[in-house]
Amino acid sequence: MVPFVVIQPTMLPLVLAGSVALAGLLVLPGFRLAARLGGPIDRGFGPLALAIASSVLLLLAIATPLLALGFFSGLAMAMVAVALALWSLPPFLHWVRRTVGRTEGRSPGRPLATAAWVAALAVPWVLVALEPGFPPADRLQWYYAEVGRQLAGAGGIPISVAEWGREVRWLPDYLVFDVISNTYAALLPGIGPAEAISAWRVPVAALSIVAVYALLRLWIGRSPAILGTALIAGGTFFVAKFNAYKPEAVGILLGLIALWLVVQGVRSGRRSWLLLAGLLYGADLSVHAIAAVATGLLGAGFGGAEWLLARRARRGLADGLVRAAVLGLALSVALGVGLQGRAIVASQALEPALVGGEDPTWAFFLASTGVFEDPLPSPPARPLAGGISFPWDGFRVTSAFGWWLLASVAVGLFLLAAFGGRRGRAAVLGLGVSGALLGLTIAFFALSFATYVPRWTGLVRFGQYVPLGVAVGVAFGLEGFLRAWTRVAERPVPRRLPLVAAIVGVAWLVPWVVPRYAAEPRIQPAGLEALARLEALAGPDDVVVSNVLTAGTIELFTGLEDPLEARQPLIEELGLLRAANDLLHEGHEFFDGPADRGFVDRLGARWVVVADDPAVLGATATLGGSTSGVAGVEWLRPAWQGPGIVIHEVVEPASGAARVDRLEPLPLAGPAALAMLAFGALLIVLARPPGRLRPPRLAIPRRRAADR
Amino acid sequence: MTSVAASVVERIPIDRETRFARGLLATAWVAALVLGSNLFQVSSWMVGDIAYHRGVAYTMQAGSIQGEGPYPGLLSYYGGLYPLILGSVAALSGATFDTVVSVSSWAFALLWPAALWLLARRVWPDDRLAHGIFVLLGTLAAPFTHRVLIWVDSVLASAQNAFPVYPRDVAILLVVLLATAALSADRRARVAGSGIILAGIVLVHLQIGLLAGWLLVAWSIWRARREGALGPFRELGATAVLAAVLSAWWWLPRLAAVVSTKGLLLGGYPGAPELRLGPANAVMAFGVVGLLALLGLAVVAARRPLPGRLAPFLVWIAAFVPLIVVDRAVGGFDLLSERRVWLLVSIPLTVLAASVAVVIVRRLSPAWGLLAVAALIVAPSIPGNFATVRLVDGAWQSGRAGGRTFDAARWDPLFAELNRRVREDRGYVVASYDAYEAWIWSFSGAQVPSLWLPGPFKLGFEPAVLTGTGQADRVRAQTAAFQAGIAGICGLARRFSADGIVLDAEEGLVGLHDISPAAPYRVDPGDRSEATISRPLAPGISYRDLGSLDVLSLERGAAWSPGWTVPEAGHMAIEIAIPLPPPGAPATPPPATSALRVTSGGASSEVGPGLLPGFHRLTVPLHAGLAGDLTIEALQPLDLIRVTAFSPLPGVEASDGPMLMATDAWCPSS
Repeated sequence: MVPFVVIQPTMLPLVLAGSVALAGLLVLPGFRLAARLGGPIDRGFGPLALAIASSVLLLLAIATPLLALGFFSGLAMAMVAVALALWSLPPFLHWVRRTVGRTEGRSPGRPLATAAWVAALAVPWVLVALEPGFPPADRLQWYYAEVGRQLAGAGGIPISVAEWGREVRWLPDYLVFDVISNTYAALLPGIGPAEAISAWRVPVAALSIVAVYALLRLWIGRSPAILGTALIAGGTFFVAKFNAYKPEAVGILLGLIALWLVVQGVRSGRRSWLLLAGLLYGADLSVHAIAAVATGLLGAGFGGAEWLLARRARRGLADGLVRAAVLGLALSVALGVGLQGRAIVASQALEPALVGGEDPTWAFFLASTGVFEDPLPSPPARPLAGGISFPWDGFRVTSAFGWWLLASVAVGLFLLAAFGGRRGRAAVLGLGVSGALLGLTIAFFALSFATYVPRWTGLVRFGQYVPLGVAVGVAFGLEGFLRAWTRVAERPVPRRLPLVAAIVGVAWLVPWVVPRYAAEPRIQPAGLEALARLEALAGPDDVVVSNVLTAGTIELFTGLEDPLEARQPLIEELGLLRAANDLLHEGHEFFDGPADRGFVDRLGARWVVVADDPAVLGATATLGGSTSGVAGVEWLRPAWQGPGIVIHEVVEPASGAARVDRLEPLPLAGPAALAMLAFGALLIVLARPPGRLRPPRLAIPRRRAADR
Repeated sequence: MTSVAASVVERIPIDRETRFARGLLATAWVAALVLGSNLFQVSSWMVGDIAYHRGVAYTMQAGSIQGEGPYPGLLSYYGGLYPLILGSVAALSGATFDTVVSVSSWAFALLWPAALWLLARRVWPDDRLAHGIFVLLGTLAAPFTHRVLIWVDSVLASAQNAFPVYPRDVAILLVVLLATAALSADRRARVAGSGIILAGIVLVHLQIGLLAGWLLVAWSIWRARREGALGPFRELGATAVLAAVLSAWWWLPRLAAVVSTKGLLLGGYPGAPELRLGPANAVMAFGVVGLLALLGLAVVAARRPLPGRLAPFLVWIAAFVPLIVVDRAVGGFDLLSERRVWLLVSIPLTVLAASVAVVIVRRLSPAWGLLAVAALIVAPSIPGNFATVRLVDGAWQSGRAGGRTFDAARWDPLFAELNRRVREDRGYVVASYDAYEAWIWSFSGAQVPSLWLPGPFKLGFEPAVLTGTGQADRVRAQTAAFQAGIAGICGLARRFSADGIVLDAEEGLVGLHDISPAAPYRVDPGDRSEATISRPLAPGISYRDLGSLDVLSLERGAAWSPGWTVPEAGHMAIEIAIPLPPPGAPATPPPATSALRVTSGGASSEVGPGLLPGFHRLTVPLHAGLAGDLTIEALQPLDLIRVTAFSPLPGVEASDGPMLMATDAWCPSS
């Protein structure tokens, strides 16, 4: 049952504008290049996938020298993107006409119906974007936005930023995401960052739904693909990953596009598509490393399966696949060396170690979620059990009541392999190989590390992709049963089955997902008002501390520095980790009994925000304390009070202690130029054909899908 | 729908197909023997439904062909061929009932695939591959689960092949034979064969017999409509008369008992949930049979042919599914329970599934065909069958019955002695403690004055009418007798004409005072309901009927008193159960405090420190006997099961354990 959803009608134009801006940014700039790469393929999903890949790579190519020279700005990027988009408009319109128009006797009904179906599936994401309070507030989306803002503020890689009361390096892991998001923000002048963030998730989710459907269609017929898309979009994986402004969601989208290019590149023998996929994976590593690696494993699994079952030109295809992989890694290394300060993406994330038998990362995790027990509770013993075994909320697949699904899927997969021809066998083999690779990755994290980060988090973060595999398996299994039926009955699939599948899929997905999003935490009106008051009261270089464990909310909404709003990827360095733990414990002691102002003065804070309930600011935990607890403190002067939340001004704040972001660009022209030159040389070498790739263009005969 | 579609390409050469089919049959028989014998398991101390059938079988050994319940003169509601045959074999061989059941199960395991093979020949007359696939599927198919809806809870007919053989298993096998006979082209086989087999089903399992009768009715209607003649109804009438006559020796006395007692006392445990299969549960419960059968139904819905004579089986499904609707509409109806209906529907579903599997295998190359059998039939059955084997392995432990542990080394000889007397004396009655009487009857056939009716034990007919004393009166008499020591026990024995008395002896003392604290609060079986199985009695004290036993649940600080005064008591035994934590709750270490405080004559002592969840028997030494103010106070939440006071019995030098005393020798005749 769909619960009552409160929406803000005023957000509707913003969401519409944001959707058009981001979708346009991801599709249009590269469309002319895509048209060239696509050759005779000028309709359907192919040009769209090529355009998204081309757009991202073009944006990266434009941003790289700007970042290296310190001239990066969202506005500059937006201007170039708009120019490229205008230049690409004719091939784009041609694609629209070819896809939707009445050409070659094709009715426009099917693409339009598909578009309507995708729009219906995207309803939950539209609704959540229209809700007040920017749900889900207690996620890291505000922190991600702040990281992007810092990049634009510096015009390049910032020299340093302030976190945990110290100056630390700027977080470079999401560089490509930050490039895209800054360009996107510049395309929406006059729209606040919070509203822009809310709108962002709609096009990302919608494009990902399209990508999922297009990917499933590579192996299976329309009906199971339609149902499979709904099952994937309504699964725990998709619902969790696409609920907010997250690099991982974009990383998944780009990974899916790259996967499509790999499979179609192998099937058609187009080496350029394989290389483009490799480059996109390389760029994706700087969107979100886990998403890129996880979808890369899918690319390896399904691409490998397609290659293994290809009848001809396998040598040439192998060459193309290897070159694509090398090119992707080379791009990532070049970006890392030239701009991000390390050759291997997120390599510091693998560094934590036990200190004297204690796990500082576990201590940090507990403190940053408001747990200050003594002794600390033990880390989870069976970290795999929860998130991985629930493909859909409330349905545990690894239970006496859930195994039937896996068994049924296994039977369906067998039928697909038996009756699906080589394409069916490639699907089953690809799923198996991808699952095995993902399993090995999970095992790597489980066995190689002793600390909570990265053992538990790495293991769970990769494990969260397992439900995606289960849902894909269900779709493949459905195709297997459908193929078995057509072979046993010697009848084609009923023509109206896709329509039934679409209706069933939407009817299931919307009421299933909307309540889950309706339950997401949001910033309450009092919290929003407090943030606005704080922004109005404070000066630009003021520091604020709060007892609420927010994740970037205060910094993004007020532009002020909050030393406690910092995040996990930066805790690999032991000294910083210790400082963060100490600061959190100090904060806990301070808010429990705010007599000693040492904590506040050491951070140079001028403002102290205290809430009784963390939900006021959209969070779920606090450092302790309450509004009444700080009421009588003589060196704190109440500046504003709302229901359950108070802003205090510190009387005579300590001067000179505050640490704020140093938003000036690092001088990177030298290393960036060298890295890019090296990469360019490699690109020229690898892009040159080793000889003529053997035709035919289609390495695998056209499929005999059960219900084309 | 009698032949494979003409366009089907048979890709396996016919000679290879024959060898393949033989291999499938051989695999099925081997699997049947392995699963049905559970690797040649011999069980003792079987409980569950077998416990009731064993008691009836032992009373049959006393010469009563109808079998009796736990009370002399109480006609068994079940009886029939299962306990009669197995009990007779046990009597002739000198083996225990459990041993006979165990060994019979091994042999029965081979009959199930044989029955399936006979039916397969009827459905696919000349198709050996179909025979092999159907028999293998019908033998191996298991649910897609490892814990629920397996073994006796399974709705798949293939579960009949699990150890040990139950009446239901025999009845299902007979249903397969009934279908084989009813589909015969020979009218004599159809009428006489069906009548004899239907009588057999009634004599083994009335509920399945009625459903089998409904199947014959449905088939007759279908045939009459198809043939446009009334002949099938005439055949049905003849079959029904024959079956009724042949089974009359069983059903006539019971019909008379129903008429005289005006009802049946067959209600199960009120708290037990009814089986209700939803779409997901159905896939889980029917496993690959369900998936392939659904595929088959979809093919049939598209009006496309499948190999075999499937129409009767589609009629079977169509006739039985409405019964499920009826069962749900009336909120659980014993005669049409959903579980039983699904069980019978699983047979035509297996036929349909096998038919689809045959086409699938034939559409594939030989290698893929072999792979299909492995992937579609063998592999999906492994987890469910493995779970069943493990479940059966751990189902019964020597000495475990009704939630308590008996010392099998001491009780087995006593049961053997009682059973010998039952057979030699043409019946034997003993008086014993409330906690023992159900199991004395079950394991020996010796009948008792009263008993708690654990799970599968049902009276069937009102004992007040058939024996002169109702259940509530019996429990009251039993409770009062054991409050009064040896005089009360002898009084009970005399009143119910008990030939012997079974009492516990410990350290030279005999348990002459005993009570199951929940017994006074029991309701008559006919009044048992969800409202009665758990009800508060006083602050901190509630009555709980757990099915296998009933208890008084005491909260912390609650106290209970038996009201005895036994100055000569040497010690007292208190049986309690520490409740398990709720499912999913974290395990907590046992509390350091004691479980109970026992106060008598102004002195108190605490017993049972640090007890883990589960059954415990606590012994309390008594230095000054039991005064009238004896109270037992719970120091933590617990279930009070039984309290026994041990006193000297002059003239008895008892060794520890249960002892059988002849009533005439120990009770004065006056």
